[in-house]
Amino acid sequence: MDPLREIAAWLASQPALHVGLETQSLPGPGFRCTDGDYLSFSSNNYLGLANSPRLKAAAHRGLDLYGVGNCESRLLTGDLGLYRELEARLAALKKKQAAVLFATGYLTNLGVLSALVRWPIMARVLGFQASRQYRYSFFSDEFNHVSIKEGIRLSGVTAMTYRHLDLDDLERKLRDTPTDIRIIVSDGVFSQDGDIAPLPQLLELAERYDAAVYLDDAHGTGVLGPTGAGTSEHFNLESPRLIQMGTLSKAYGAIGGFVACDALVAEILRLSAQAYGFTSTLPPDQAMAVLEAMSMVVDEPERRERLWSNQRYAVSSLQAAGVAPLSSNTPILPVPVGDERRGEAVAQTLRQHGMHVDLVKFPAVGLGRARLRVIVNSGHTPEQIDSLVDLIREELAA
Amino acid sequence: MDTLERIKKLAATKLRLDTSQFTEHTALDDIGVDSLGLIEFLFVLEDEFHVRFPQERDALRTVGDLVAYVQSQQPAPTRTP
Repeated sequence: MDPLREIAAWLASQPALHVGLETQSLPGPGFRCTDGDYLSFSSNNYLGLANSPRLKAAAHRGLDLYGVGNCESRLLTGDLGLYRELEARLAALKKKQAAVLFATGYLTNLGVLSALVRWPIMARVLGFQASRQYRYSFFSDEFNHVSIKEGIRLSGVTAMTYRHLDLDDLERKLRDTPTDIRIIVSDGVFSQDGDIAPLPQLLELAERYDAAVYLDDAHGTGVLGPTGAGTSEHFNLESPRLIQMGTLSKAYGAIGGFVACDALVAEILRLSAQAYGFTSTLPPDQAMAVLEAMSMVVDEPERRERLWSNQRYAVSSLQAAGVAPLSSNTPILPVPVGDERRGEAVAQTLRQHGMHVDLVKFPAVGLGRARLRVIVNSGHTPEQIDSLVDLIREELAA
Repeated sequence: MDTLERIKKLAATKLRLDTSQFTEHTALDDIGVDSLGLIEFLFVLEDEFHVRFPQERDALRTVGDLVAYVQSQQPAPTRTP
């Protein structure tokens, strides 16, 4: 393994490339590291559910009822009724006929995007004869999450990447790509940029070019829309062309992923998505916790009210300080710093003041496009937001 | 391009295999794919050559068997007057 030894030797001389911050507690939003206490402005625990007594109690009930882990595939003896109950709730949330759970969001994208186009092969092995052959093509926003890119790569079919949010570029590619089945794939909320996909326009293009839209709403679910149902609710949209994907590890404070779709598609995915059938799913206590989290989003509306109040306050404070985030419509407010080394220095200064903000840099974003990914959540106070904005203003002016 | 070369090219592009050492004597068990991968490859050949391989595949043991079967299913060339 000489190539790995060569790279390891080079990495040893590049301390700035080392990632990972060992923590002793998780952001709620305060957390503890070996070198002190910090306040996180980069947590996906948007509503503070992960560490809430009510959610922990639900997980405890799951542990008591079912034990710690599910050691079986759901295609064998691991298909607890609890999962079906959660799938029904998720389907109703996304206004779809059915939903299918996966162990993580990443696995959901790997499993579903590849199976959507590979299922005819699996069916053919079992004796199915299609009435005709179809050519499939994906059309994917360039800033989509890496799990989408990997899922599309795994599918083995034509993949066209369109420029971020560029509907003209997307339409050109939809028009000019000879294919039978078109699937547009987009994040709902882009994780590194905080902007929202133009879902109405994506669905218009889908109508015009007879395409489906696969929406990864990892950061929208529980956050966007009047009841927290996500990006489609934000736009008050439903469409039979829409396939909804989401994760359970952000606003819902647990682990897992799901896809919500037509019932017949869901059943095909259960049989053909290897990331569903050839692995254990999320543990039962996590499923119990997500069911509780979905209830909490609805019957503890003050959490979402605080989240959005903090979001508005942070946006106005940044603007008043002359700091322009890359986008300002979601709790993700990325502050561009450009050069990676400068970004490291700013992030380090923030840490010296007890504030943790993730520096997002290459390869998560392009080289020279580093940004401080500020994420506000329901647990922040206006005073904490003031402190962060003051520090960022001073550092960027320096 | 003859049938063997077309099959080698498809194996290289669809299965990402190094086909430089493929001959008609190469056993299908030795080309470097698992059973599902081999079935997928047969589907690729079916679509490419517009043939159907038999469900009972005992007679298909080598690359040469694939070539022979594909050629046996092709329509005879029409004679020009």
